Amino acid sequence: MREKQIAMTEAVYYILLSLQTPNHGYGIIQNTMELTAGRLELGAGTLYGAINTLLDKEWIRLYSEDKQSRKKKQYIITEDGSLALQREIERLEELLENGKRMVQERDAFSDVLINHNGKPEMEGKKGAADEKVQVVF
Amino acid sequence: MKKFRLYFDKDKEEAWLNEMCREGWAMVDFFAGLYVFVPCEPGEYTYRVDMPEDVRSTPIWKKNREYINLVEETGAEYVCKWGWWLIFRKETAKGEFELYTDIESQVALYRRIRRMFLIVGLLECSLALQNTGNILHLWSGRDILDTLSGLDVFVFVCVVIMYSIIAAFFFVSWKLTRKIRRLRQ
Repeated sequence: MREKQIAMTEAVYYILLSLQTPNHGYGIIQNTMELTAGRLELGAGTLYGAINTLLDKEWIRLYSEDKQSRKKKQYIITEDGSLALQREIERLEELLENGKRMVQERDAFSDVLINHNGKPEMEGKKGAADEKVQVVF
Repeated sequence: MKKFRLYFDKDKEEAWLNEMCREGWAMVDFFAGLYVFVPCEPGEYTYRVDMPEDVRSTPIWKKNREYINLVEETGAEYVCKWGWWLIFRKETAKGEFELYTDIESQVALYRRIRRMFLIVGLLECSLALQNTGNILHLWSGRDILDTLSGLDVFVFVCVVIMYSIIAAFFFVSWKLTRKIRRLRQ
């Protein structure tokens, strides 16, 4: 059942990462905060919606439910979820490699531009011309 | 203090609750358009009006403790419930309070709200058409202008109110569609 791959939302990605080991809702929020050094604080509504979607997709499953303390429903990633996560990591790697390579190539190209016909060289030429003029006089 | 308001736009309702709180009035309960306020420190709380994901799985009269607990774990507190709507607040001192932190879930939230308005609107529409049919049947064959009674006027006013509510529901749905479109840009 290899569905067409679309980019995961950050929320889904970090939920799957947080569920490599059993974890509960608030644990996912905390884990995501730690992993992103406080950049990504998942809202409860966002998390709750994503958990339900992932349960429907069977990318995660209920791991344990503590009836005593009502809140402690723990979830864990499934095999399908792990596969999806692996594919997403590969997609992100490609994204990152292409990004770095293209930006490096552009930087190299703009160095060439500056040396041969970029603005800085024009100024250089002008400077050279001034020098020549000075020499003549 | 009690105030009566009818809001069809949850963002405006939220803004009003936060404005009331800035003025030192914290909302603590709601019933059929009646908001109950108690004095608080100005700006003590941030309010959020929510329609959580479980609208289809949790019966309308039940509280989804799982979701409420999750929200409370993030440092917020549950204020009250009205139909599918939940109201939460968080002490401003405890930091920012957002329930939906990405565009995808915000779009999903507005879609849920729109679906609710459309379903209730259509339901009301079918009832209204039925009522209108009955009323027209009662009025037919009578010279309304000559025999106009207080009851007729009352019925007529009711019909107008009914259709206004329906119109409002569809107007809200249209506004929500615009909000969703703006979010997705």
